[in-house]
Amino acid sequence: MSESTMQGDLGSMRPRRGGKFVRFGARGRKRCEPEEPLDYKNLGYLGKFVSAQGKIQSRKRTGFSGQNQRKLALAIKNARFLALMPYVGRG
Amino acid sequence: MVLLDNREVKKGWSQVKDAVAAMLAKHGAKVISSKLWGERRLCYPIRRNTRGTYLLVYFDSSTGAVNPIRRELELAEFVLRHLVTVCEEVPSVAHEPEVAFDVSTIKEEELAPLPVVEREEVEVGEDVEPEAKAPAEAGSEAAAEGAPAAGEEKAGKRPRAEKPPRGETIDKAPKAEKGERGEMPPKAEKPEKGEKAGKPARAEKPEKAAEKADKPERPAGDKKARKKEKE
Repeated sequence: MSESTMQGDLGSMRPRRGGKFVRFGARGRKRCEPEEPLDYKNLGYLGKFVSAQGKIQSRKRTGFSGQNQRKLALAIKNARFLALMPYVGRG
Repeated sequence: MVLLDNREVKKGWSQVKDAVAAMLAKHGAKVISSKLWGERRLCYPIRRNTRGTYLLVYFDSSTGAVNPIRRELELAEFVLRHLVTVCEEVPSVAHEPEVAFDVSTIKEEELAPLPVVEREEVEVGEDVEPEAKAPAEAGSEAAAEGAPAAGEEKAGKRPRAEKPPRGETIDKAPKAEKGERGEMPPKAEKPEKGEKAGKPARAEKPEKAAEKADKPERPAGDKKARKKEKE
């Protein structure tokens, strides 16, 4: 298939930005900054980033940068160690 | 942040707080603030405690003193958990006066049960130990007594297996082989290759090797003669 035909096909399909295949890509990611400090004592805020099973949400869901995601994970793990948050489930 | 045992906290909040501060001061740390963070239910039981009291301490110390402090906290029985982290800036909240903490609010029912079971285990262990030792000693004595007796009985029959300890035979076996290989071949290989080459390789002892070196003639005959004498 030549390049010209490909372009023609895509043109006829009206390429969608942020469509099926790019939803979770770099373009479609929703970026967020933490609204409150990511501290192990800030339990109310940390609780938002934990699933019903007690798992830490992924970057895809939190929208945090890599640096903030690492801070979040560390804060949750510290809180778990001190029995402030559960390892499993909703404590 | 330090998680404290409520049973100790109930005896006196200020005493526990001072004990923690003393631990830090012992290693040269300067306590900036030491405050109650909260008394709350734990998300999972720790040492049978379902509730605990959190003490938040901001302190300034050298990096070398942190590990000794952690060890000190680890060894303290009234400390259930502790976490030492780096704090870039001490928040202003830390300098505010501590909220009054009424220790009497801690319910006796929610405290961890006293370790009665552990005491029983210790007592049982003490009772069991002498019994366990007694047969062991008796066994060892019997073994110690039996060994020479058996040795005496068997001395006439099988002196080879008992006299030299295993380590020696293992250590000296290769040396004997080397010695035989170096010395024996011209004399031993010539008369009977098949038998004499195989036999000395199986059971070599340094003494025998030396004897063989001194008396290379008929090593198989010597063995047979010894066996007959022993029988």
